Amino acid sequence: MFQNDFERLMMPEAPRLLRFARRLTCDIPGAEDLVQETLLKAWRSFRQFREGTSPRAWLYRILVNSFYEDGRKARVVPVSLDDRIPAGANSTAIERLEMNQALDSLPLEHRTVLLLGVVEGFTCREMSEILSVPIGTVMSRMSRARQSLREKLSRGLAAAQGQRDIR
Amino acid sequence: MNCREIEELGPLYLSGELEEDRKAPFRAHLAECRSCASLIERQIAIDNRLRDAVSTELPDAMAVQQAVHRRIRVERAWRFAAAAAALVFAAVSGYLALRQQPVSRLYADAALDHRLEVMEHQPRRWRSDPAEIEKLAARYELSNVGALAPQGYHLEHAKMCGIDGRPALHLVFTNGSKEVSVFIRARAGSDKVVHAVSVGSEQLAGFGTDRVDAIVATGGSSGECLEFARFAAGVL
Repeated sequence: MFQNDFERLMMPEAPRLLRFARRLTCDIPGAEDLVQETLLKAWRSFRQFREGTSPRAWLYRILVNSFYEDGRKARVVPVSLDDRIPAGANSTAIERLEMNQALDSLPLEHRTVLLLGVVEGFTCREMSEILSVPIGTVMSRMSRARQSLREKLSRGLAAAQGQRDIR
Repeated sequence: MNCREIEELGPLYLSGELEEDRKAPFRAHLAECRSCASLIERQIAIDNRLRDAVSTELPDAMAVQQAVHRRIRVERAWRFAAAAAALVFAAVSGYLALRQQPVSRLYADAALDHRLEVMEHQPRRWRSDPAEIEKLAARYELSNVGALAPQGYHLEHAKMCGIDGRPALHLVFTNGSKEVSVFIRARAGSDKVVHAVSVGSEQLAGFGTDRVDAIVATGGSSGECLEFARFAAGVL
């Protein structure tokens, strides 16, 4: 029963956890290690999981704690937009790349709340539990993160426009 | 509701958490204030773009899931082996088994880490820089941990790990042909006398000092393991 419940509640989250971890660490092998460690920790302490609470929030909390406890540092490698755009990419693909690049260039705290809140769909209250910070801190981080992302995108567009003008 | 409150409560509004009694004044302000309405619209637009850019990629986690299943199988087997070893140990020395109930899990975890990370060289992030290792050791108020090994061995690398649910420093020494793990964690009450435990094919020896508990793990003989542990105990 223990193993069945774990498989049913926790293992299906692996792809989403991996997506979040990749964005958090900016390091694909490191993200896989982090998710593996998260799921193993969840398995080891699954008896402490309270039925009725959100298994997703519990897992993300373990992941975030593991990320900070082990002193893992996010390694953001700035990548030139032009380098990442394949020849013949359509405007949707270019927009997505611009967004991904802007997201990766944000400070870790901002990136984390945007990924949790916007991409993974957690509420501010859930994020406050995942990150172990007051809800007011989550709210102000969200506001600043959205603003930073908007500014990065504006600057990226202006730079891309400038390069096109030079050519 | 004023513009400042709109900015503050924006995240709750966008996540659908704003209470009903505050939602109406929030919306009323947006209907009157072009600047705030535009701010919220821009935030919704940026959220949609972000969701579209990131949510479309859902990586294949099959390899990670398989690795987790493998590790769970191994841990269950080791736990079973450790429980069996603890039973035998209890039969031989009931006194120690009763006094040190957490020992089985502690030694099982140490043996498993030694097996997977040292003997089978599963990829881990080891620290090889002596200065970095000393920093880790300083967490336990220890220094010059390279001197814990008897002559012929040198400190290869180290990292933080968890054994028996608590953080521990995992040091790996080598003499060129054998590798020996030394786990150090904050004192939890191990016997101060050096004592030996076998878990599967791993030989372990544990001891405690006033500040830390230590476990030596090797794939060699029990005698070699005890000798290493006695030397380390003398240094600590």
